[in-house]
Amino acid sequence: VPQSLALQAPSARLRWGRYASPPAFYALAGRLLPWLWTAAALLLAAGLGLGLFIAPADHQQGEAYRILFVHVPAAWIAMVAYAAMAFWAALGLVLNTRLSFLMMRALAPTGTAYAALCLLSGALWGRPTWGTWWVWDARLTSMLLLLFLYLGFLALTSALDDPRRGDRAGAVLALVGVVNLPVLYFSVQWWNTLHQGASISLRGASIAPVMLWGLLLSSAGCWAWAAAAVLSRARSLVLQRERRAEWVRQLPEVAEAAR
Amino acid sequence: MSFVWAAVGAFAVLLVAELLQLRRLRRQALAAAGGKP
Repeated sequence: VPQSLALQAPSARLRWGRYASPPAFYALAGRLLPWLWTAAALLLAAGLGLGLFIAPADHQQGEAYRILFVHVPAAWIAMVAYAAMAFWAALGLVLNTRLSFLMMRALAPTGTAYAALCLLSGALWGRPTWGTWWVWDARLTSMLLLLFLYLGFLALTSALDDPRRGDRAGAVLALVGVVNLPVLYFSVQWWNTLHQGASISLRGASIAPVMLWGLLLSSAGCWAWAAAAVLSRARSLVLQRERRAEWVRQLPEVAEAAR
Repeated sequence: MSFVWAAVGAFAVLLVAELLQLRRLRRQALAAAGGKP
């Protein structure tokens, strides 16, 4: 046991160490999933209901601004999922923990989907408000680059037959691509872009309260959905990777599938 | 409003596609763990 770990309080070691083991993670994620899916359904229904049917039209953009309730959560999740992927990649490379690489892999498809949704909903918003589907603006281009990084990650990790080599190659790509995140986030401040600046910051929001609540609820719903999807995917990846382990064979769902 | 519904429709398609992908992955993982090809 390394000195730093031995010096920690036993309770702290137990708490953090326990869920790095695949069987404990599999069980915990399985317990969380029904709550996350239910929260996602309720929050999305409330947020989109408020945003699409109750919030008034915008005085400048009319009805088109309602794309915000899909576009903004998608952009947040695409960015944060990539940061989380890079975090697990770094942890996997440094500590060589099995679960870290699986979490990294589980995040990628969800991040890809939300990056694509962000670009698509942005184009649908740009057409009625800017008069164009697309411009090679710093914010839009860096989001397109993020989508390509996700696609590159998926292609690279699935191209290598040896899963351990795929893990390491994917982790390196995820870490290299992380330089795009500050560019993406600060692009609206660093350059004079067509894309508007942030409407919500730690100092407050510049949109009406009913719109803000719609946005916060739909974002929370998307977050719950993304968390559920990632945990569900990670559980399947754990099952595949650990299929020869005794604890997997003893799972009732595996015994049933074997019958 | 048609642009808004197009965006919401794309979102719904994405959610359903992800659910189907997760279900397929789960079945494959269970089959592999259960010793089926």
